[in-house]
Amino acid sequence: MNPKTVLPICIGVLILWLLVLLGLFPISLPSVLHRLVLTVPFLGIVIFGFYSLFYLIYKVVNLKDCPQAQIELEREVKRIRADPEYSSLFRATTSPTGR
Amino acid sequence: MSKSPFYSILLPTYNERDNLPVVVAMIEQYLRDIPHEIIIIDDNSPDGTQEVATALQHQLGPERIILKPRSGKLGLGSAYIHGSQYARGDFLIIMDVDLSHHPRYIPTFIERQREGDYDIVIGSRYLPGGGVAGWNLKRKIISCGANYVTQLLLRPPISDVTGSFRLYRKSHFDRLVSQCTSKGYVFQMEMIVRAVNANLRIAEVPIIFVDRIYGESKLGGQEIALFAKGVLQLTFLE
Repeated sequence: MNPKTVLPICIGVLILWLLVLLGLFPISLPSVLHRLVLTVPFLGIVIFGFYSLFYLIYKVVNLKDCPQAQIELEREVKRIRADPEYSSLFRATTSPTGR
Repeated sequence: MSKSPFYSILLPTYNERDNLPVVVAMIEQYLRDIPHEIIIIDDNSPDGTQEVATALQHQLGPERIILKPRSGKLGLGSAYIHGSQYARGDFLIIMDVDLSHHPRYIPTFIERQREGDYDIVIGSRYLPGGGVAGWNLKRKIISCGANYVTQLLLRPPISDVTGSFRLYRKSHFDRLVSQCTSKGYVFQMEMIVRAVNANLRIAEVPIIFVDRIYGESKLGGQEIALFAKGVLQLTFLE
């Protein structure tokens, strides 16, 4: 399902479909089949649209929100700044104004 | 018993004087027993980040902290290339310095790499166990949308293609990064696409991303257009 092979196929199918639409298709189709062929692309687009929408909603809903992580991070930053083992790093990198 | 691998952590910085010592302290804490070095690539930050980096080097030594500053903001891809030149590690770890990427995950990356001898380990926000903090709905929709479009067109077997918290085998990283031409989010995607095309072994671990950029996200129409262009270009990559 390489996009590079899918694209020429799609273009080929589109050209065939346009031929049917414009009545230029060499083989004469029974009217039911003719109508079917004309509507299939629109059906395809609608189905694809709904699939994309539901997939996107599913992904957004499942993207876990972790507000706790932000709180824990703030806490850990405070803790490590006060940690005697790393105090030399923070002492050395604080400006004389004590920011 | 083979030699223990050495890990180089690349930290491109711009205006991170407050976060840099915290990130370094955390790396030292979580990688206490893991041989590593930290390469700080500062793009001439006006807030004095480079002075902070120099002070950190005085404290931890030039074997642990390597400074490779640059004259200006020259882009992330080139910062990685620049830093990697001096890296002695078998593996590189790239991450953000604003604390959106927590160093506590680094041992997880290392462990995962070892499990399957992977070439790349990606931190994913979308895997079970992963997530985000501080994103509003709009941001979530944009991120999920971007990942969906990318998966549709590029079909990489990866859940998070724009994330920038990753571990790379150095030899492959150097080759991939030299081929990449895009910037920003698309650069991260391009690395993955090229890696997949080269049949590299890629694994993912869940991470929680804490958004540190408060206020309006800089994702406007122009960024979206650039992203669309980038994805289309990547789709037709050789």
